[in-house]
Amino acid sequence: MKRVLFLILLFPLVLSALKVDLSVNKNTISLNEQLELILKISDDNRIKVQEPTPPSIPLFSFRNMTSSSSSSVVLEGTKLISEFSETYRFIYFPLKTGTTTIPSFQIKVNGKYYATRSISVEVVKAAQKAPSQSSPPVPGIQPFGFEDSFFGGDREKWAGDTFVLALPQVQKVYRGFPAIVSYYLYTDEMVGSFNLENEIDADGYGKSTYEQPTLLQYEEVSLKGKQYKRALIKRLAIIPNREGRLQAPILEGYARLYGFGLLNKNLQSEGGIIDVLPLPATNVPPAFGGAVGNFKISHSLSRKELSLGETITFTLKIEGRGNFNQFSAPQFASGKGFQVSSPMVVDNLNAGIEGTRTYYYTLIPQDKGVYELPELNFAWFDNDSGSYKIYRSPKEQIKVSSANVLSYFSRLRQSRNPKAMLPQIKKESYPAYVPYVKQLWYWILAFLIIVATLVVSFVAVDRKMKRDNPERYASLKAEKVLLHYLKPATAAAKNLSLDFYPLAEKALFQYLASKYKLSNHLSTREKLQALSEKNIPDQLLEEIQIFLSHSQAARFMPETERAVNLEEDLARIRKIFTGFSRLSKNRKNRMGK
Amino acid sequence: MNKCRERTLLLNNQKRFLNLGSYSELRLLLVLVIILFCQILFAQADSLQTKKFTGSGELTPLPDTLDKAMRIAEQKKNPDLFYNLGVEFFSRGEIGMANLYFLKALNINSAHSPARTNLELSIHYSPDADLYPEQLFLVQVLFKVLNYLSVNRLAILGLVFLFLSALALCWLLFYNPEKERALPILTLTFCLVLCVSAYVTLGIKLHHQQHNRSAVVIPRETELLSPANNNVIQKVHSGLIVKIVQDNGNYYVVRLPDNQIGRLPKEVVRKVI
Repeated sequence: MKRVLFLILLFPLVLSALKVDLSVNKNTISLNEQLELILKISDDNRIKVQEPTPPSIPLFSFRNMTSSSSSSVVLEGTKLISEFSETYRFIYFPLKTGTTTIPSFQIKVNGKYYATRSISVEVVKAAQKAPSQSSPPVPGIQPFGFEDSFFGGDREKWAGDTFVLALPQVQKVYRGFPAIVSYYLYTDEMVGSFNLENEIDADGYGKSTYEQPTLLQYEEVSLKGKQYKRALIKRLAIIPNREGRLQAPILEGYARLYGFGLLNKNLQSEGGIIDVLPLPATNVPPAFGGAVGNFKISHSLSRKELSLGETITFTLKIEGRGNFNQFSAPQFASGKGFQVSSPMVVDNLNAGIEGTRTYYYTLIPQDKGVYELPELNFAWFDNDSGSYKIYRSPKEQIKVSSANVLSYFSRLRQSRNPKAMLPQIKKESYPAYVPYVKQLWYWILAFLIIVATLVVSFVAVDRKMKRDNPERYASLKAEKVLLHYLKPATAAAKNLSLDFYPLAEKALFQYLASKYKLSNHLSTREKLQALSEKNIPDQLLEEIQIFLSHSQAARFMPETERAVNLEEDLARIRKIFTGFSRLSKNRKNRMGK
Repeated sequence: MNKCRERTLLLNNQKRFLNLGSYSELRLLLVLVIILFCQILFAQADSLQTKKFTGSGELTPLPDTLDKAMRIAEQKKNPDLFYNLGVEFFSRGEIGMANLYFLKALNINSAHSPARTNLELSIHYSPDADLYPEQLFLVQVLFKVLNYLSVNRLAILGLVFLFLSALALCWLLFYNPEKERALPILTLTFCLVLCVSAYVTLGIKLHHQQHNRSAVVIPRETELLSPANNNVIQKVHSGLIVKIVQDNGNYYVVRLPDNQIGRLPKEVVRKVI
């Protein structure tokens, strides 16, 4: 019994215990907080996880994802306990208040797919005043190295000099212009890794990650007369939405320092003050819609001459750095002769602040004539020059001619030009594609059509011959009949069967009936008489007579003699048919001559 | 299920190993196993609270991610699946892959209207849109007709004209010989010509389907090199459709839509087939 219990205790060792845990930092979250969705996959054995796609959560916008992995092997008494785990953290920003559900999503572990559970989350309004907003800690983020926990140990006072500095690219910016703040780790020590734990946000700006390196790449710098090594930790884009002094987010984390062992040093970024200037209240162009940035504007026009029913595409390209997310598409002034569609927007932006935005406008002429392109104004505040700037579309002359047949078709074609991507096609099943020409039914159908055609053609040719050359038709028919009946007669002769005579007789009379149109109702004598009237040679008639007499006699003949007679009569009947056949050929030859 | 089976097997092994003589001991063993491990089983079920897993304690493979969808699409060669992948890639901003899958859909079914529409949209708004020449109206009409006549449509059309030719032949054969036979002869010739045309076009289309030389540029931006040397001719962007002219070691010699010939590294283009 003891042995049984011992085995029972060992039983868990053989059990595979893959666990997939999904949790959130809070089930009720306010609008100024962020949601952290933690996915942990653990197993006794090594696991291979394919990076999961962040689930789309209604009421939330996805911000970023981090991952970490860990493994531990512990010997507890006689038991060797190992655990391998992968943890993914998804950060989301709430957009609206309400209740939502984090949908179940799939993860691929060791080549198999697993689903997570769904979780309900409620978003509530933020508290009235939040003096400083602190992002929840993101434990386990290890973007720059590995954790060696058994060397751990904090030391507040450290002899060397290691700190994090937040350096804005420019000290002064106008409200709305994205400022890039770089966070550098400065050190004169041996830093093994830096673990970023928290970002403390303040009021007055929106932010996005501009650059996130994955390795500490040091460069030599001099700061206040001292030499340091520095490495970029993060680069944030800050879009100020109020004037005055602005504190950039403060990064918190700890550095792993090599000294007499490996020691942790807690760090908090310093600096990161930006002076935000108000936009000038004077000389504000009427077309100004809140765009602030250093932009380069260009445009293109698809054509200048067209027919009624055709369209023009006007493309406006805005390139540079600015608050792309804070202004909308400029609109064409209502001009004579054109109807203008809402523009289609194509963005190619980094961190939502830098890159290219392209607007595509479709203009449809309403009447023929020469028209000026309607005016399109785009005003923005240029951060570098500190002034408002305006782009005005050129005064292009557009010639609209009358519609013709081609332009009518062209319009049909253009009306099918898509303005937006068509959605996916949802079906219950997607059968494997096999072209019809590789399917059996197709070739069966084709074969049936061809066979039916051949049969019908044969019948038609037969009928044609019957109609055009009845004598030849009768002759061919007779040959067929002969073949049809002579075959069984020959077989019967070989088997010494008495059936030979009736079969051979039948073959002979059917042949004669087909060839010379002799009625089957006539007696043998009458048939021979009719044949002699048709100029059949006497020798052939004599042979027929002998065969018929043998046929009569054979019914009463002993079996031993029958064998000799059967062979003779088979030869005779063949001779008769050959004779008739020669007769037909001779007649044909005579007719030919 | 597998775990239960494993446990049963293990239990059998234990039983053999211990040579348990009496059933009472076996029963006791079973009870102990259940008491000891029911928590583990329930804990596992809790950690995966989906409809599929609750109460079963087993981990069943689940269907489709994008990766799997791509594999399935390649196996099934279903144009709708390729099209859906194209839409998915487009929504992810991967224009090159989107165009590639739209082309795959069109390679199978040239009459796949949504795939063509989306491909046209993607081309229209791509940075290389100017490289695609505007064709003459009648040429466009011709291409539209040819695109409409997909492989399957041509196969059916061929079969229909074969049938009509057979009917016309029968009509001609059984036509009254005393009457003028021009009409049945004309009908038969017309049907035969159409039938042969349909099958010749089908043959060409099938050949093109199996030897499609189209390929798509995948990276956001890459340099088109001269076929003869390493001079850069121009920059091309994601989603540009090219024709592979020649396989040249690590490079493909390609023809751009504006007939410009150049060289692209193999890793930057993906072939439709």
